[in-house]
This record gives sequence, structure tokens and C-alpha cells, in this order.
Amino acid sequence: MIRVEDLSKTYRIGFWMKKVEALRSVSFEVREGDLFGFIGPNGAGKSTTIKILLGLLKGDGGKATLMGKPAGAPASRLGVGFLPEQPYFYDYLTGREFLWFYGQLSGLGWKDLRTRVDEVAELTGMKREAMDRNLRTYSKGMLQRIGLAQSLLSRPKLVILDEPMSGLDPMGRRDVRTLLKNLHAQGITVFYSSHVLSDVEAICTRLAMVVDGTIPRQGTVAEVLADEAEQYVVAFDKEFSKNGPPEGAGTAIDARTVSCPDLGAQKHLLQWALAQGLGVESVSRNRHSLEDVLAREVAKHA
Amino acid sequence: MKPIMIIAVNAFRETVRDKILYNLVLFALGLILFSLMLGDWSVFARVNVIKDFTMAVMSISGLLMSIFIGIGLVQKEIQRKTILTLLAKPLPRWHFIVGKYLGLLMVLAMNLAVMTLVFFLLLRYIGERPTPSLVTAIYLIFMEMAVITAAALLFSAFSTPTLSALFTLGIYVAGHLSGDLLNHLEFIRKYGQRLPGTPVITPFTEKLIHFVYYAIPNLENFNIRGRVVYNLPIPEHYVLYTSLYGLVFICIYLLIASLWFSKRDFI
Repeated sequence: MIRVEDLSKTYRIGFWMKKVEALRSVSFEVREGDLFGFIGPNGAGKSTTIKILLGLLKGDGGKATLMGKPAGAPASRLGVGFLPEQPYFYDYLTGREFLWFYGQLSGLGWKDLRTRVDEVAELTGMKREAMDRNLRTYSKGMLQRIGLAQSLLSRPKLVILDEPMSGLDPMGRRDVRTLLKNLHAQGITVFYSSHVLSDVEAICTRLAMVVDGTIPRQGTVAEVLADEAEQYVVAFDKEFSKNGPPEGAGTAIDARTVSCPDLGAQKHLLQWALAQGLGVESVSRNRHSLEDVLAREVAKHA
Repeated sequence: MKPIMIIAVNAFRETVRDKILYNLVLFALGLILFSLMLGDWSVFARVNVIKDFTMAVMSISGLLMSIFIGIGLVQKEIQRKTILTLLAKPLPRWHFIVGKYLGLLMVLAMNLAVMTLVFFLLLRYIGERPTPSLVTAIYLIFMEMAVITAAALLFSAFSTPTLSALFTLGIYVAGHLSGDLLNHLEFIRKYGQRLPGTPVITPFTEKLIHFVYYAIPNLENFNIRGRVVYNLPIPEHYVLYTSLYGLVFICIYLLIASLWFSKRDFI
């Protein structure tokens, strides 16, 4: 569906045309049926990559293909739905006119559009009353919803969404998350960039992490987190002696809690606690999240 | 063709929902009515003044529309980023340029139709019959505006709105004066040696003058108002050749605009 190989892009900004490298040899692949998360901090190169894929920008080097065709060719965008970041739409149109306009441009006939417009409006939670109002009266969340609706109009095989959850309240975010899951369940490939890492971790089948124009990690969530050691935190019912846990059993967080770097250390700690007459109140496993990993990668590139 | 027309109809809809159009149309209609008074005050034949002034108003209002609306049509899309969703559709970018252009032509045609209606009613009011030659003159005003609009779109594809407006205005002014360049050249050639102090035209200057003349559309070709007002004959096939002349410039401008636009990055 999407294949990016050694893609690079340099912007020239300001009066002196100062070079800013936005992408440096970026490679990744989105396969059919993926629910693919594209994560990274602001300015990492997510939107640049998406715009190159859709032909809005031209890459300086490397290769990008969309639906098996070179990115930028109009034919590559057939069967692709797109929602840009912070969507700005024609505010003089009503929601319905807006969807008709984009539906017609996507090649849908009048007969089809009559039913399809209502379908996508319902799918994205647009209220019927709002459909006949000008877009200039819409809230940010409603604009996001109508933008999503327009990306789904042509029954795309692939949807590319740039920050689809930005500007949405928690309920709206949940709705979009459910929508993405439903689209994926229907066999539609979804490629979306996001800052909401917990959502990406929860729903994405695969992901790529963009940091400073490079992709330091990609794969399934498990693969991305694979070399991240798990932590065990053991809390006791009373304070242990000042000597603390024995060597190799972890480090004390406070007088009653110990953090163990692995399962062996945890076993060692529990044996020691038994000998000391300490009762175990709780044992929890702390897995590193995508946020931890991203923060570490960002720190590496800082 | 279908996507181009969809974009054109949307551009038309965008413009007719914009207040600036109504301001310009009301301003023009006010001026047309003012021609009644102007006809009374003038020492020339009343009806001729009304005809000449009204068609001049049509031309100027078309120019203002081309500049204020034509430039905004593309620039607004870029600045407000509405263009991102549009260009992400499976369409070549020139569809966007041509669609926007045709949309604005529809607006100009509608504007001219409204003003022509008022103009003809006005002529009826003063007991004059509108003649077909008036329609011909108005058609050529439309062709002139079509050329100017293409130029406005070309400039707005790669420049800022203010600069685009200035460049378009420049084309309009230069286009009405470019014919004089050749006339002056001819005059200096004929009488230069007899008149002391006349500048010498070098072969380079002559080539430059010819280049400017051919590069800028001679907009005076589209102005047959004087002939129509004073019932002078219009040469055979004049309208056809002038239309073709205009079409060549329109195609060149839209081609350059499309080529530039298709290479442009949209950040």
C-alpha cells in the first residue's frame, strides 16, 4: 500500500534559503490490512512524509510509492482517502455541499452520493442538523469529523489521516478510535499520525517512530518495545531494615517499596523478604510504554 | 473535463457568496446610472456619452473583479490550506488552475450580463435601441477580461496577492499602451532624422520593443467601443481574429501557471 525507501527532504527557509533537513533516509512499509501508527514529536517529519506520499511535496531523494505507483502521480491517489492536519475547509459551504463537492471530485455519481453522504456523516457522528449549516459555524471537533467523512466518501482502500484526533474532546477521541478500529475491521488499511501514544499502542497493528527526520524504531508494538526491559515493583506491608534489599535484588524506591530490574531479581527479593518476615502487599509489573521509548529516542537525537 | 467543471462551479459558488462581488457590481451599476447625468452635462451627443461611459465602466469593473477575486481564488486556497485536501484527490494540478479560471469567467460573464441588461434598459429609457454591435463590443470586453484573468491567475500561482495585483494591473496598463510602442518606433524611423534631438534607435532597442510588444497582449485590440459608439464599420473577421489572439495569450498564461503550479511544494 505504502512503500518508502531512503526518502529525504530538505526545506530551504528564510531570506538566505537556510537548509533544514526534514527527512533523512526514511524507510518504512505499510502493508494491506495494517492499522499503522506514525508517531513522533512535532516537527519530526510526519506531515512532510504524508505530504510527499500524496504529491503535495516532492522528495529530494529516495523513493515513495502509494498503491504501487510513484507518489505524486494522480493515479496513485485513486482509492486513497486523506485528512490533513488541522483541516481548513471551504467555510462558505454547508456540510452537505462540502461532501457533495469532494464526492464529485472523487468520481462518485449523483445517485451514489445521495446515500453515501448520509452514510459517512452518520459514520463520523455528524449531526443531521449540522449538515445543512455553513462550515464557518462548525467547532474544531465538527470540522475534524466532516474532514474524516470526506476522506471516507469514495470507499477508499487506504486512508491517510494526519493527526485525526487533534482538537477532539475525550468523547470525540474515543469515537475516532472506534472508527479507526471499525475501518480496520472492514479491511481498510489505515495510516495515521498521532501524538496520542496510548491510542496508538492500544489499536495499531504496526507503527513507525519518527524522530528528527529519521525512523529509529518500527514494527509491531511488541517489536518496538522488545528490547525495553520490564520492571517489577514490590511493596511490603512494613518498612524494611536500613540495610535495604540485598545486592542484586533491586533498588529501594522508599522504605517499603523496591524496584526489581528483572524476574530473577524479584525472586531473590521475595526470598529475602520471607527470611526478614516481611509481608508482600503488592507486586506489579511496569512495562515501558511507547511514550518512554519515544522520550528516550528524542533525548538521543537532542 | 468533469472535475474541471466541478472545481469551476465551486469557484463560482465561492465568489457569488462573497460580499466583495456585490460591492463591485453595485458600484458598477451606480456608475452606469451616473452615465445618465454625465450624458446631460456633456457637450457631446448624450447617447454616445452614455454608451461610451457604460462600456468603460464594464471594462473597469471586470478588471477590478479579475484582480480582487481572481488573485484571491488561488491565494486564499494556499493560505488557508484548503488546497491540501483538493490536490490530494486523484487529479492533475492543472485541473485546479483551469477549473478556477473557468469559475471566475462564469462570474465575469454573469456580471457583464447583469450590466448589459441594465445598460440596455437604460438605452430603452432614453428612447434608444440597443444594437448588435454593442453586444460585439461587450463580448470583446469579456475577452479582454478573460486575458487579464488568466494573467492574474498566472501571477497568483507564484507570487503574493499584493504583487500579483500590481503585476496584473501592470499588464492591463502596458497592454493598452503596447500598441503605442510600435507607433512610436515607426514615427522615429520615419521622421527621426529630420527632427533634431530625437533619440537614436539601436537594433537592440528595436528588438526589445518588438519583444515587449509580442510578449504583452495588445489590449487595445479588444477595444472597439469608439467604433461602435460612432457607428464606424468593424473589419471583416475582426472579432474572430481578436478572439483567437486572446485565446493564444490565455492558453500561454494558463499553461505557464499550470506548469509552475505542478512543480510547487505545498507545505
